[in-house]
Formats: sequence, C-alpha cells, structure tokens
Amino acid sequence: MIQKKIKKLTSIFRQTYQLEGKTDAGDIRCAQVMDRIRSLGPLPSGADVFMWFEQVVWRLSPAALVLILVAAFCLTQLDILADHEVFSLFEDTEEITLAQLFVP
Amino acid sequence: MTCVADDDIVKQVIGGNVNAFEYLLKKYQGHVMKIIRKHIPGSHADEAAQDVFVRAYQALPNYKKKDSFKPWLSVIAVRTCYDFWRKRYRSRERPMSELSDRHQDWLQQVLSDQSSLSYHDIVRKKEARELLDTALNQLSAEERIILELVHLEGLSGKEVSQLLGWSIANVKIRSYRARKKLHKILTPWIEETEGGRH
Repeated sequence: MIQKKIKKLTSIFRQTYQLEGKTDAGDIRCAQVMDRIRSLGPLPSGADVFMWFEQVVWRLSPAALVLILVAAFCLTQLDILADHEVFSLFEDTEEITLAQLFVP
Repeated sequence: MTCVADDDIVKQVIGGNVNAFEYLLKKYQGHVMKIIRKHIPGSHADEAAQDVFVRAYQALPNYKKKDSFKPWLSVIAVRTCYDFWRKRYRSRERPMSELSDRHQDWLQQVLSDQSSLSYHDIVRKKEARELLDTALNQLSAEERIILELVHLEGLSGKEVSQLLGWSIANVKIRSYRARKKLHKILTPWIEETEGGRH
C-alpha cells in the first residue's frame, strides 16, 4: 500500500520537476560574464604546450621504450663486477685492521 | 553548419580574440539556464550560469573538434550544479524533516483518491516543489544529482555517465541507492499523513 503511494508521489514529483525546464529560463547578465572573462585575459599559450605534448610526445613513446630496453641490456653487459670486487677488497682490509685493534 | 561556426569561434577565442566568446555566450545562454534552473534554486541560478561560461572559457583549449559544442557545454553545466551542491552541503545546517501543516494538507490531497484538485493542479502547486526540495535536501550531493538526472529527468545511464564522468556501473549503483533513500524519506511522510487522517 505504502509502495503504491510512494510511486504516486514520486510520479508527481517527476512532473513538478520537469515543469521547471518548461518555464521561461530567463537571461544571464552577459555583460557581467564578459567582464569576468575579459579580466581573465586571453587564454594562456601554455595550453599549446600541453596540446603539443599530447599530439607529439606521446607518439614518441614506443621509440623511448625501445631505447630504455637497449640501455637496460647494455647495463647488464657492462663489467660492473670488477668494481665491486675492488670495493670489497678495501672492505676486507678495514675489517682486518679493526680486528687487529682488539688483539691483545 | 552550426558546429562549424562554433568551432570557428572557439578557434578565434583560443587565438586571443576574447570578445568572440560573447557569440557563444548569447547563443547558448538559454540552454545553460534551462539546465541550471532545474538543478539549482532560482536565487543562485544566475551566478551558477555565469560560472558555467567562465569555466567553459577556461576549458576551451581542451575542447576537441570532434565533440559538438552544445553537449560539451552541457557537461560543464551539470558538473557546475553538482559542485554547487557539494559546496553547499559542506556548510549546510541539519535539514528540516518535519512537515508544515500546509505540506501535510497537500500530501493528504495527493494521497486521497477523492481529491478535489486535478492532477495538473496538484503538480503545479507550490507545495509540490517545496516538498521535493525538502526530500532532496536530505540526500547527499551525489545522491541528489543522480536522482535528478536519472529518476526525475529520465536520462539513461549512459547519458548520465557521460555528463558526470562516472562509469555506467557506478551510475546504476548510486541511482539505485538514491532511490532507496528517497523512499525511506517519503515513507514517514506518508505514514504521518495517514495517521493524521484517521
């Protein structure tokens, strides 16, 4: 029973709401809007940079990806192990020297 | 034809001719006002409509030629209304849920099958809009805008998803919840009116 009444009430509300769209909407104070827009000035040229980014830079992304993959491959091929070994040699010396300090 | 003309104007405005925007403003002010008047109280409508055009001007560099200007502007108008309610709800006081005698009388007339008023008169009564606003004021900004667009205006899920930028599934879930909440608000009103009658 209540559901039926809710349905009736919502249907009336729908009609009432839709009447708002049919009444005279009235005019906007155009002069006021244009004053606000003029005070903002011409649209910034920075937007062009974003458009350029969107149109051009994204097209280069596949090439950039290939470059990153090649660079990663080259890095794995470099002989960085030798540097590590040299570094660990110094570390070992340090440990020995410290250990010697505690020898009576 | 009109789309081409609009695009030319947009190009001119982006190129630095700010005054060219007045053509778009005059052409679409009625359309924007219609959207605004449906969602926002009359006393705030003019200010909100002005905001729509200022936002549109600032967003012109993002306007894509493949879109038509009118639907693009409609999206800005609906989102401005949504933002209006979000700001307003942040600072609102607790909404009034008790009905006045005048509203109860109207409800009694509506709900009784032997009403002396015609359906047309009932719909046009000031109380109808006031009660609708009272109910809508008890919803959140999201629920309010979705209920207005889907249930009161009758737009499809796809149309609403384009206007608000939400997914269709999200629109469906929110619209279902909003309708449920509206029913929860209306039920005690009906019970109160029924109780008063007996």
